[in-house]
Amino acid sequence: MHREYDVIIVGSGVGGGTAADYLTRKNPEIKIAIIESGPFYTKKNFNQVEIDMTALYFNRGAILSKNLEIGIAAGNTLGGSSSVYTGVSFRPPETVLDNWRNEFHLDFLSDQYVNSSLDEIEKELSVHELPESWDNDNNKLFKKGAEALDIPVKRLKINTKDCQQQGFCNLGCTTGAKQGILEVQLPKVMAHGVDVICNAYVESVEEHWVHIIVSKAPEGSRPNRLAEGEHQLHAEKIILAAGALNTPAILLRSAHRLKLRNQNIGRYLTLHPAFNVNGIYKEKVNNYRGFPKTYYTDYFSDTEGFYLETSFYFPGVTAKNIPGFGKSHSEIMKDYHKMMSILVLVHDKARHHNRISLDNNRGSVVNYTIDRQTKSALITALREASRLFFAAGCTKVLIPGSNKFPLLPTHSAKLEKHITRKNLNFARNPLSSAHPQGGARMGGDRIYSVCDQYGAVYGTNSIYVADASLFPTSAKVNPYETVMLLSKWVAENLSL
Amino acid sequence: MSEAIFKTRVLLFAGVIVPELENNQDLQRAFIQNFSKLIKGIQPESHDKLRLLTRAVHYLSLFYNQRSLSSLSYGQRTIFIEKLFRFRSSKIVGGITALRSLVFIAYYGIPEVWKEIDYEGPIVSKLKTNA
Repeated sequence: MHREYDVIIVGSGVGGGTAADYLTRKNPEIKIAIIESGPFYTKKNFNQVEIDMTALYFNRGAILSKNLEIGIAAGNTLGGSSSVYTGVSFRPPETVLDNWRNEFHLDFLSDQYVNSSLDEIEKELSVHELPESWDNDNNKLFKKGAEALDIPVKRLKINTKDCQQQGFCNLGCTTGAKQGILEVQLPKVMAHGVDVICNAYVESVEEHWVHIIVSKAPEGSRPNRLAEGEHQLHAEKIILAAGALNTPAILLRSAHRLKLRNQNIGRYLTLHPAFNVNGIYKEKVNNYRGFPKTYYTDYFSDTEGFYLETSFYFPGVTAKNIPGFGKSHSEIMKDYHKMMSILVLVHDKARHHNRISLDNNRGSVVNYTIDRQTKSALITALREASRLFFAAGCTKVLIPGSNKFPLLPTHSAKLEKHITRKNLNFARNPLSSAHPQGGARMGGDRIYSVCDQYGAVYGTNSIYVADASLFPTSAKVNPYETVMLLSKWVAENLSL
Repeated sequence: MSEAIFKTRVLLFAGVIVPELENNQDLQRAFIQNFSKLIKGIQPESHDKLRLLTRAVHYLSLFYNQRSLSSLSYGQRTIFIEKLFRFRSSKIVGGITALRSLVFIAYYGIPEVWKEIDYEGPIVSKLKTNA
């Protein structure tokens, strides 16, 4: 069968939801379809149980890079990754915007446009700092450790309304407090008559056409609107917003049909590599309830290339992030209620060789090498995080992938000796990523870009991109606000 | 390889990763239930790779120990799996690391295990009742 639309948006996450919202604001009569690969789940389906909620992610939460050194978590459910993010809200740093304006000719990103757009977005999503009275012990210990070391900390901004502090935002918010696409944009656009087609894999696109395969809706999710099987959908314009893992893959699968010869498709992928590090505090703390993230430090950002943020994860993921196995590992896990946790986030450079490619089944493959610079930043970050754990009063620090297990306060004077490149093994404990970016980079010149300044794919008439794959380089911060900014721009300038 | 053989091989590996699983049939049952749930949701290619990996571990055991994994004592199995984590092939190390992650997620997803780590479980039902 085939259906007619003005615009088809591939992806219901931050990019797709924002594009649909701004298109309907511009023209309430517009006929839009949103195609989502994941199921139609709502907050009623969420239960904060780790084993169940891994179903909200692609491949149950772990898409491994080809070299198995980094695992990427991305949402595969209605609302995309906004259904499973923590809601940490950062504006793109000024240095990043300067670079994008000067090197990639994204002149539309003027201070005036960026600030007015993000003021509007943040107001709608209730972005705010949580009161300090809400800080659980994990967050308080981060502050205590940083202050003891004279490391300035800042409060994270979060997009919640009436948060019930259940603790695990990454397992979906059961009360709808998190102001992601699922709670804010999708209800609005669906009230405007936007069609949402879930469980739909986009095989490829061509000018004005999207080829999809609809699979069975999982038990408990809303039933499919289209019958299972292949469908062709027609639209005046097509916006790809399937995220940095999938949008480049769709373009690669469609290259023949679209006669695309652009060698940049899939390239310059950045992953914002992260390690979740745990320490053991001397006594029981309140760590897994309350809001998991309220503090961060950007003190090392410009000089060393990393951020430290508070974080706290569910038991299975925590166990995976702790080195080793067997009896000693089980003993450590018995101290789950004493754990303090820090997320180390490293700024990685956009490299030509880091890219999305296709496997023999035309699926997406992440080719990513952790370069020397990223490794150096990671080592420094792990050392600084360890100092912070000990300064906060932790008696043990558990560095993922490390041969030294665990680090004790007596090691703190010689962290340079204990946390070294040689002592880390990424195959034995892969880095993680929740912020893939790039692969269809936006820029003023097709020589180094995939999309022009309006998000249009060079060499096409009707295909656009509106997600994190547009980023020319890493945004260096949790990226959802930057995605919304670019998506808003693409939607506002889309002519029909 | 049948599903039963695959699960037996996973359990032999899991018993070394989490010793509490060894000789505890109730925990093993709950573990396999969770593990099956996880496996059901992963991409077919990843599922195939996991099966391939368990087969590779089986043959590596035959090669290095002249015995299958199931014929090794618990101590011998532990030494062998420790060796695999230091194996020269990064594909094997990366593969068993991925399997280790699934084992932990499946094991620490068992409500009875939460008591052991002093995790009280989700408070969702209470919130939903109050709402």
